[in-house]
Amino acid sequence: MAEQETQAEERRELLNDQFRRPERNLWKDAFTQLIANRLAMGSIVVIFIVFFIAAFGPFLTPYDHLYQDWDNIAQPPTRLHPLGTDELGRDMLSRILAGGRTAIMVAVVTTTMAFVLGVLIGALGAYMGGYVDALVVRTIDFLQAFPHILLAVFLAATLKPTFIRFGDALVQQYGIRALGNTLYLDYLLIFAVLGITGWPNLARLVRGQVLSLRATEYVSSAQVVGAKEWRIIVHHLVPNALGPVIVSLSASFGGAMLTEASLSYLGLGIQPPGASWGMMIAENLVQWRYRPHLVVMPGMVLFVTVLAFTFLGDGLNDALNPRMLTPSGQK
Amino acid sequence: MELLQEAYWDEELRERVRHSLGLDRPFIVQYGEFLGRLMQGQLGYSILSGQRSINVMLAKAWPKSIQLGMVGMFFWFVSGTILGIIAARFHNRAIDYIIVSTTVAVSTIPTFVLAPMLMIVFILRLGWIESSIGWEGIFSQKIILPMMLIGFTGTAGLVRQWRSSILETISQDYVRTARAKGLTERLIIVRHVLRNAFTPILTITAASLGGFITGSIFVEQIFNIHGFGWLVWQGIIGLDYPVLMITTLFSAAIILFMNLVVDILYGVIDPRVRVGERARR
Repeated sequence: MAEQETQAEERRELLNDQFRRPERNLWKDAFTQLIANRLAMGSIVVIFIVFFIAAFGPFLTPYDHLYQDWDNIAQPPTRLHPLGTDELGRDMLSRILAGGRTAIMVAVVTTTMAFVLGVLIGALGAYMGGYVDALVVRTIDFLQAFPHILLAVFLAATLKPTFIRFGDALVQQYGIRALGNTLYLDYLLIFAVLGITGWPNLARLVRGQVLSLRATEYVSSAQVVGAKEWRIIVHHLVPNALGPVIVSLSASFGGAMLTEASLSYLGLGIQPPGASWGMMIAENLVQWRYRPHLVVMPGMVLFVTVLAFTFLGDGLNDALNPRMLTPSGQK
Repeated sequence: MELLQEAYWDEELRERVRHSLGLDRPFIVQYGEFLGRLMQGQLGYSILSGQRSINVMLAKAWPKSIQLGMVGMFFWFVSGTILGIIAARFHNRAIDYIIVSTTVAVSTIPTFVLAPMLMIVFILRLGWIESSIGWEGIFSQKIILPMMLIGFTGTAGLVRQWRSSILETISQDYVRTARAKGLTERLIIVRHVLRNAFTPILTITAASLGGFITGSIFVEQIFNIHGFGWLVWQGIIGLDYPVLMITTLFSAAIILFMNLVVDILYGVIDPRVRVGERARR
């Protein structure tokens, strides 16, 4: 008898071993899906390159992006200047690399701000309910009623003189010459504007997620079992809400770059001689007929970068949103 | 407006200008007056262009922008619909992927990048169009590039929406019934699928409107069309606060109004959404 039982046991284990499936969870699934998505992987490569450029770009070129080569003005690509020079004799490659630094810095800072503000305000509204929630929702509605860029433009135009005054006051009070460089103020202005316009999307998302997750059965059962509030937040709310938030962050990263470029293009963002892709396009647009490469190059770089973030966002959305999948696994 | 007082004027002139702009009164009074005038349809005066009335400026600018917007939306709708139907018809095949990713790519390009690129391609390289700068009404060849630019910003959204909502509708029972009755494929698509797939399209139309308005800023600035977007652009470069304030408010008002129109249209197109009627019965 005993022998038979052990034999059956062994056979069962053998079967189990044969048919054991690898352990799966949301993150592993998402990762495998993302790896399989060629478009998303390509985007990740592009994004890595852009980040690398932002970090080390200025060390890679022999020219400073402000250096004017008076012997080679408005040249098409040559061996000396691989991407040519603009009408002031500045090396286009150096300027594009410097512009990448601007774009990434703005995107990182403003996305972080949008993330912190959005999650805090959204969660606050969902948790407090009542008047606080109503106030949060109305504020979001108000900010989203305006076209995004138009609101950013309006804010930038109204805040700008205040920032300039602020800078002047700092210089006069503390006598720090470095603060007189208005480039810092341009950055601050853009951070402020994109900080204000960036969070409502995320706040709405987080609020909706928290509200709907709190109504799910597993949260109620956790409450019934007597789990503490922080445990529910850490173990149930955060992991489940994280997917959509990550997708939205990827999208808002590209969006922040685009808004910065638009503002700089319109003359409200980074001012010359600073480097920003949007501003470079605006500077060279007058000569599109005679020196098209001066417009095309920053334009292409901006386009490829933003496109990479869009495709990455799509890939993340497909990977992190299991409900998108139909039974056959087709989208 | 207080912020405009940066120049080094003598005190008396400064006071006089402040008085004429109403800046010497308390903030709350200024705001009240602004609201009061707004209610009466008085939009105030531009600081930059010699105290011209914004009402007049808007009235002059509006017709061009409406025409441009209409043509652009028409292009947007036609191209998005055709591409969306094709993508749904050949879904998960190469054509579908090409259409979807290309439209996403094109929609991602900011208008101020796409505009010079199109100009370089169509005017410099191919020479199909002579010049696109300026406004000569909607029946001139100068409208082609601005129209495409305004349309392109939202094409990806429309194509995706058509594609997914057609695919969803096609799997419904009544479509199978129509097939079983032996209707031709074209009749099924036109009469049964498209009409039912149309409701989400309305949503995306309302959602794209902000894009059209911001798109018009760049398009009108690049092509020198003196419409609404150009007015915004002028306000920006001159820091003309009254103009900026009114144009921003105005575009928000248009968007809210269009959302209302779309909400009403839902009921017209899709009888299932008519909530009120059911309650009355």
